[in-house]
Amino acid sequence: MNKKSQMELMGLAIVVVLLSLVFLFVVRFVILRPPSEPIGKEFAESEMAANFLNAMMETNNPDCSDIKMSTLFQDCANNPPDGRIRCSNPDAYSCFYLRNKLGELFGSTFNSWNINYNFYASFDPNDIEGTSKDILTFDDDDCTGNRRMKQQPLPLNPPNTLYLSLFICEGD
Amino acid sequence: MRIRKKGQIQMMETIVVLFIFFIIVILGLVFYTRIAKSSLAEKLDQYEELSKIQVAQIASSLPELQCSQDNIVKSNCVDLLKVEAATTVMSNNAADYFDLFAFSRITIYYIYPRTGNWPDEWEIYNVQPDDWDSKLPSYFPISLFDPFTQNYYFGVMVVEVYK
Repeated sequence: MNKKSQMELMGLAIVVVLLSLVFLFVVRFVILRPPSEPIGKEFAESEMAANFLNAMMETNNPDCSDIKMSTLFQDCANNPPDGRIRCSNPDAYSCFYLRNKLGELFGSTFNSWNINYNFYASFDPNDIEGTSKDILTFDDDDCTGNRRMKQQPLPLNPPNTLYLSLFICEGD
Repeated sequence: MRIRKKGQIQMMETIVVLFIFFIIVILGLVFYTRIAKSSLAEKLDQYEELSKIQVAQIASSLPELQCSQDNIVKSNCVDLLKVEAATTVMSNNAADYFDLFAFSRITIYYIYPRTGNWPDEWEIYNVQPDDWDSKLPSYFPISLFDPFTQNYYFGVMVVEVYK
């Protein structure tokens, strides 16, 4: 091989190496880039969970002498299995009333907005998967992907604490 | 004649190299434009989401709506009497609120408990652009304070930004 053809081969090799580097760069940083988490959506879902828990706990119930939802939760958790506070419409003690009314509340919010959610009221802050120990569970089977969670503790008769955990499942 | 043929071949070679070079450049540009376009669409979606949050946060902290007692403001809460009044005042003076809410629709829904004393919904603000494609809603649960009974109810502020 003469010197000129060797030079041409070297040039070709350099071009191939450069193209490969560019290709690798594109594959690494553009094609294989993990999909970015939309900050706005994440924030909105967290806000929704936090606001929902706050507003729900504050809500007064005219059927239970205007007692707040948080007091009903405390009564139900302190006096299992039914609770002691009696409400009307439905005529029932706090645990049954909560189950009934929270079902209505979730139905007219998350269910009607097509947002998947999980809600647990549990004595253990780490028990967030809906076990038999939970006093209340509203579980949406479609909640498979990422979830945004907000948890609110409620003081009970010492030394117990009730933890209300609301998960908003990531939508499309 | 032989020399001329060799020159022609070299010219052809240069032309082919240039042609391939430009093809690669054009392919690169097309690829880059597509990537840039998709990331721009992603940014637009993010901006839209953030503007909804901004509108909701401003709306829930408006003195025209928020709950306060003895000058102490309660967050994440709107006063139902103020909401009743604001429905008229804000829609009659929508231009004054345009800097805050731009092209959007803000509605407050009464969810729970059903007492029958209050309407189901209040449209606080609604300014539509002449031309819009979609308005996806964002939901922000809030407490509704009834000053007559001193009770709190469960409501939702729905913010839709026109796109």
